[in-house]
Amino acid sequence: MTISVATKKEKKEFFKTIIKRAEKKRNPFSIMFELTYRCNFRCPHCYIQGSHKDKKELNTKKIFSILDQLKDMEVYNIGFTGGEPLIREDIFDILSYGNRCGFKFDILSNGYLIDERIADRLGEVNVNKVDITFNAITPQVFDQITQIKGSFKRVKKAIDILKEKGIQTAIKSTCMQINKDEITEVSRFARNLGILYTIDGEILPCRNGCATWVNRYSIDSREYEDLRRKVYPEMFRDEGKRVKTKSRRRRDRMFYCGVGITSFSIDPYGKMNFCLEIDYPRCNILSEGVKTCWEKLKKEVDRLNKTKDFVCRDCDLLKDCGWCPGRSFIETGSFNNCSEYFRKRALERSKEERYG
Amino acid sequence: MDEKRVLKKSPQVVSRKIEGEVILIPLYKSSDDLSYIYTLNETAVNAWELIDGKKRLGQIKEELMKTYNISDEKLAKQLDGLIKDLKSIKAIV
Ligand code: SF4
Repeated sequence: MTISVATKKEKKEFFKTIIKRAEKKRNPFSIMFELTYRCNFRCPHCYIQGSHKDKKELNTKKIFSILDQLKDMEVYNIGFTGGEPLIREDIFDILSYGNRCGFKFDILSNGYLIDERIADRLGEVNVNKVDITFNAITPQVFDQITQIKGSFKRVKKAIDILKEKGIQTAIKSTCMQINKDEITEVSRFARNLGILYTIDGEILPCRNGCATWVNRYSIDSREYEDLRRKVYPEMFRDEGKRVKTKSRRRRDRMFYCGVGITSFSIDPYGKMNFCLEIDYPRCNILSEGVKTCWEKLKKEVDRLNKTKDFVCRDCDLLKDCGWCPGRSFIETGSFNNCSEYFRKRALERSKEERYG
Repeated sequence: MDEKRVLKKSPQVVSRKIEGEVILIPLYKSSDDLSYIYTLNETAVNAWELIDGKKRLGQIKEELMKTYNISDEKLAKQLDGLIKDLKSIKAIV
């Protein structure tokens, strides 16, 4: 027998192995927790609009109980999001409890409420990373998107404060018609600060299916590709041509993300959903517990994956198509429908492929 | 090994079981924290669980001897190593 003690292991390698084990056993590892739908910004493109809203958000005690269950199920990562999670009066009770449970957690915030004091408290509760939405580099465009005057100044200051206090911070933007000319400048801002920056080329439709912003403000795939080249030049540098990321789409199953494998999401009322994008299947954690809901959710994913007449199965565009069954559900009420939006993008992409 | 010594877990570190591994998680930020993780093997977990702020080291050793077929001397040496390691990562006080 050897009491081989506390072995120092390289974190990245260690978690690669652990995640593989979790995937194999379909144990939840990384989940999202929406703490509230309340928000102090009014971004018109926000997908939260049209979400189911129950009368009461989960109270502190119920959230603690859910965290206990997540701990027992060996969940490791939690992304606390909203709405704006920092708007909750008990947010630091929740984060502190999460820390004591031993979760590694990120906060997804709009940054508006982060001042010196809040940043200190985030440090005290050992937040892993603060992820801030930062959609523009000029106050005019930024405030136009948030619809809150002075928001740019406050959020930029928040980023500076977090950086100064050594709290890991990342920023992200959704690329839209309204801010596409500022994205490169935002990425420069992030680089200068030495913080991570990610962009997203898609505006999500609201959960009630309303896609006004999607239709009116989306950029096309060529525009997005150009932005990617500017934002992540190192990804393209060596290739001399576009880097084609390998498609994860499959013909034998609908879902190709981690839903029902290692991930799910919880809404502010204690309902378990596939992910943040949709209000489905709304398994009731309060009456059934996290574990039972997870089993039900997995079954539902399996059922959908076996859909006989899966609409994409014989489609030539499949490998170029970024369609997601959740999005189909929001837009059409069914998981198994082709999407005009994604078909258009897939066609653009496949043409670019062929003609460079 | 000071058999009379009583060890206490630091409130700054928790242990968690994730996918068959027991890891020690610091509740504070440390420079090491970003790149490394500490894991306990099965026997170290048993010793870790016996550390409760009440039991003397001698008692912990006796308990372990009931489970594992190992000489008193060898176990004392290994426990010493464990304690040193746990102290270095501030897991015990
Ligand atoms: S174009 Fe339509 S049918 Fe083809 S892969 Fe995309 S969503 Fe599926």
